[in-house]
Amino acid sequence: MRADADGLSPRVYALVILVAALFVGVLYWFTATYNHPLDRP
Amino acid sequence: MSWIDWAVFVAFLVWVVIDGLKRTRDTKSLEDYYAGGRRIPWWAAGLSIMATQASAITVIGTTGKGHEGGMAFLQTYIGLPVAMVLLCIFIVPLLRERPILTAYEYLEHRFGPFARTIASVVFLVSRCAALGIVIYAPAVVLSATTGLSRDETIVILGAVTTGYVLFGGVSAVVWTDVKQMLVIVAGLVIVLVALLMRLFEDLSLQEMLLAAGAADKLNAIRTSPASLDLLPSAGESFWTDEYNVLSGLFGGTFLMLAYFGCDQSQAQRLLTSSDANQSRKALLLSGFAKLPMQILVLFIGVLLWLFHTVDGGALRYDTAAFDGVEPAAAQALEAQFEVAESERRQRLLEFVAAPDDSGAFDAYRASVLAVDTVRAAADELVGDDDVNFIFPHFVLNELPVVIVGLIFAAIFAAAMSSADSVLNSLSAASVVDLYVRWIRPSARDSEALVAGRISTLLWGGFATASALWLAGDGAIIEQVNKIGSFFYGTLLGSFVLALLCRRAGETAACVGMLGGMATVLAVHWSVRVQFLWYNLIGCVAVVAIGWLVATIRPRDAGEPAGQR
Repeated sequence: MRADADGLSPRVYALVILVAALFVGVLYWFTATYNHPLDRP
Repeated sequence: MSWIDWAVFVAFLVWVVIDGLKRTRDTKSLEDYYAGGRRIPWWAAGLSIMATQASAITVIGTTGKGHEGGMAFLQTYIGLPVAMVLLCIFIVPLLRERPILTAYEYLEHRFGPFARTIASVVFLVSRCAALGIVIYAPAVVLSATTGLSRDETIVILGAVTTGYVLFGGVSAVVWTDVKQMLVIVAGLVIVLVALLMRLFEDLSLQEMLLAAGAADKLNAIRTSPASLDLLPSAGESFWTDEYNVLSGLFGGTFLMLAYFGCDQSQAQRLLTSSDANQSRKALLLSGFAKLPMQILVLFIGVLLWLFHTVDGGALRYDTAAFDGVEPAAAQALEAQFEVAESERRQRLLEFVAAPDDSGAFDAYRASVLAVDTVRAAADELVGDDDVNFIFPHFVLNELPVVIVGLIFAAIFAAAMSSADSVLNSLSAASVVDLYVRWIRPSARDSEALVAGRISTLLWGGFATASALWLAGDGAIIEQVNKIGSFFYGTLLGSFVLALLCRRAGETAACVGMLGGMATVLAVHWSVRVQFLWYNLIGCVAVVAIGWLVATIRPRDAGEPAGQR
C-alpha cells in the first residue's frame, strides 16, 4: 500500500475496517454456534 | 514465591530501570523529554500505546471478568478499529500540523489560550485522580500474593516508575513499555499453554468449547440489548445494558476516540514519531493488536473457569477474605460450595459425554447457577468480589517456579507501563500548558526541562502518596476518578468542534466544554446510563452548545482559526 505525506492510502483504512468486520463476523458465528445465554444471580 | 521467582522478578525490575536510565543521555531538551526528539519509530510508539492501556488491572481484572462473566467485555473494543481509522484521518493531521508537545496546544492554535487551559486542567484533574488507583489496585493483589506489605508494594511501584520517567522522559516510557509489553504477552501465552495442557488431561478442545458455551461463557457478541426502552430513566433501559454490540460499536467508538486521540497519556505517543504517517501506523498497529490481545486475556479467564470446574476451585480466591467475618456463616457457605462444586463437575462430565441430551444440558446449567449463587452469597458476606484474585491464585498455586516470577514480573510490568505514561503526560500538561504558557513564558529550554523533571518527581510523589492514602480510606479519590473519567467526551468534543465548525471561536469552545461537562454531570445525577455512553453524550453536548454559541457569537476576524 502506498503511503505519502498527505496520509495513508484509503485502501489501508478500507482493509482495516474489512478485517475488523470479518473478525466481528467470526466472533458472531462463534457465539451463535457455542454459546447459550444464562440468567445469573 | 520461592527465591528463584524473586530473583527473576528483581532481575526484570533492574533491567527495566537500567534501560530507562540509559535514555537520559538522549534527553537534552523539552522536545526530547516530552516527544522523544520525534525519533521514536512507529512500531515502538504503537506497542507503547498498547502497553499503556494494558494496566495490571487489565491483566488480572480482565481474566477475572472472563472467569465470572465470560467474553462479553470484548464488545467494548468492537469500535476500536473504527476509532483508529477516524483518528488517523481527522485527529492526527491536527496534532501533527505543528511541532506541539501536548494535544491541548492545538486548541490554543485553533481557538485560543483559555480553551487550551480548560482542556489541560480537565485532563490533569481526571488523570491525577486515576494515577493513585493505577498503582493502588495492583498493589492490593500483589501484596496479598507475594508476601510484601501493601505499602511496600506501593512504594516500590511508585519509586521505580518515577525513577526511570524522571531521567529518561517519554523515551524511557516508550522503550520500557516495549519490553514490558513483550513480558506481558509472554506471560499471558505461558498461562494459556499451561491451562490448555492441564485441561487436555480431562477434555478435548471441542468439549471445552461446549462446556464453556453451555455455561454462557462464550458470549463474545450479543446483538439484542437487554432492554429496548430508549428513554433513559432511573431504572433499566437501553442505556444501562453494558455489554452488547450496539453499545460497543457506538459508545465504545467514542470512548476509544476520546481516550486515544484526546487523552494526553495516549496522544503524547502520537507526537513522538517523525511525521503524521508514522503516528498513523502506530495507531493502526495498536488498534489491530488490541482485539486479539483482549480475546486472549478473556479466553484465559474462561479457561481458568473451566479448570476450576474440572479440577476444583475455591469459594473465595482472596485467602484473607473471611478475616473479620462471622466464622459460622463462612463455614456454612464453604459447605454449600463444596456440595455445589462437586455436583457441577459431575454434571459437566455428563454433559460433554452426551452434548445432545437436553436433560444433561439443563442439569449442567442448573449446577453452574448453583455454584454462582453460593459465590454471590460469599461476595455479599464479605462486601466485595474476588475477581482480581482469580488469576494470581492460579499462577501461585499451579505454575512452576521461574514461571511464577515471570508472571508476577508481567503484572508489575503492566502496572508500570500504565503509570509511567500517565506520569510523563501529567508532567507535560502541567509544565507545557500551565508553567511555560502562563507562569514563565520566557523560560529557556534548559530551565523548562528542569521544571519538567521536578514536576515528574512531584507527580510521582503525589501518585505514591495518593495510593498510600487509598490503602487507608481514599473513597474521595475513587469518586473523583469515577467522575473525572466522564469528561473524556468533553475533550473529544472540543476537537470535533474545531473540525466541524469554522465559525467557532474561543467563546464557543470554552462555553461548549463547560456546558458539555455540566451535561454529563446532569445526566449522571438524574438517570442511569452506562459509562460507555458518557463520552458520546459529552462530545455531542460540546459540539451542540459550541455550535449554538458560535451562531450567536461567531469567531472574530482576529481570532485564530488553525490551518484546518
